[in-house]
Amino acid sequence: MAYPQPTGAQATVAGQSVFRLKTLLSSMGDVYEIDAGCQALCVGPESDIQNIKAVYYDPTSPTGVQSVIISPQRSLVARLDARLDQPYPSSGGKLGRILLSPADLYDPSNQPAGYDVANDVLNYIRPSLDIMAYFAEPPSLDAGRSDRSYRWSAIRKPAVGAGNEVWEVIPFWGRKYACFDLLNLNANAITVELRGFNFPYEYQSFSETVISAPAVVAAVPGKRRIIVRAAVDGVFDMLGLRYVLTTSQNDIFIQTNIVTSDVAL
Amino acid sequence: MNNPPQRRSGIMGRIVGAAASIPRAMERAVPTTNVPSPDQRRGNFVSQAYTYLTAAGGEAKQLYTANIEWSRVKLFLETAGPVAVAFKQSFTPVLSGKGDTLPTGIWFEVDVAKGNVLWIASPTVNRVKVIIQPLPWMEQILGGVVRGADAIVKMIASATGKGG
Repeated sequence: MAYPQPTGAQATVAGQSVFRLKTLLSSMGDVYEIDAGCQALCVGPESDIQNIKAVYYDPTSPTGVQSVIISPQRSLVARLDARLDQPYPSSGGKLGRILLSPADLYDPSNQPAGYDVANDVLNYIRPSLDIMAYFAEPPSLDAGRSDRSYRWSAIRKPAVGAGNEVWEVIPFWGRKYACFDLLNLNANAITVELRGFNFPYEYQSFSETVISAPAVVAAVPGKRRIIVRAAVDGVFDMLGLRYVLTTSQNDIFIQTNIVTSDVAL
Repeated sequence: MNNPPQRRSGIMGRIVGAAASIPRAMERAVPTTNVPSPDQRRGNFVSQAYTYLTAAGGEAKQLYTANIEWSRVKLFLETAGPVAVAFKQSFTPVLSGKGDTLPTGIWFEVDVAKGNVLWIASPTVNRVKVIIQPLPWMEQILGGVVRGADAIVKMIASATGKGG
């Protein structure tokens, strides 16, 4: 959770027409508040989280509370009121701000099967939550996420030793296509594997699916491409790219270019 | 207790005389005002334009106290609201229906006579454009009508030989 959290009131005073909340998630338990009403609510273009829940004060509901889940496929075009003059029922006086939280599952404490905490490295790329609340009804609402790109030239070195691994786990909620392009610039070969992860509701390890079995990327200039399609390989919350050292290497230069998209290519 | 009537001639004298018989408690509710005049008076030309930021919490605040004879108040809600306005302080909660809720993106216009107070309330911070324009011509028209009516009464009175 990013602090200090931006507020809708600040955006109002600043003369903006939209309040944008863009922040990195700490956990799926993150809850954000909007203290200004809006005429439309949609998932922003840079959101890794696909489904976002909005909770608001509704006097017509038996509990006084109503919720809605928005996604890139379905925004909410309606007036949502932030009621700073009315507390939520049975909340101990908690004022009726609009509450936003990720509806997708996410738990960065999960470790892939075979992960060695002493010798391996596990990097979760923190997902981003991006929400846009329009103060006035927009003439058109172009919802939908942009394609996401990841690129690195080297990976963090694990403890020196053959067989040690580096995991890079990227967000993939709601995506339908991913392309991994690898170029090995080392004098030694590296083994690369791709798995798909889905987080469970209960406290247990996430489910893993091997999308691309471990295969060697030859020494410089070895290349490898991995394509993920939802219709063929399934849907996943995150994708984990596993680099396995074949020797005790000091430098690991392997160019990795990744593109994920909501479009099924 | 009645106040003695002010000395005025013609139709205004009759109006003021009638007003003098109103009980004192009610007279307090009548704002002090000058006799309507067809002539322009300084101070009736002042216009205002600004952006008002509502305070969060839903408490009614004074938006405008009319200190000129007639004025036209225009309001434009730029944000989502809800924002309500009324001519009395006790109209909250905002969505209770006791006040007028402002629609987003549409001008809200009202003519205000001297002595009225326009109140505004909202549970959140909102931007409201405010334009206040004087309407001196309303007083001029009324002043012209009063002066003309006085002249007609005097003419009739002199023609019939009876005092006005």
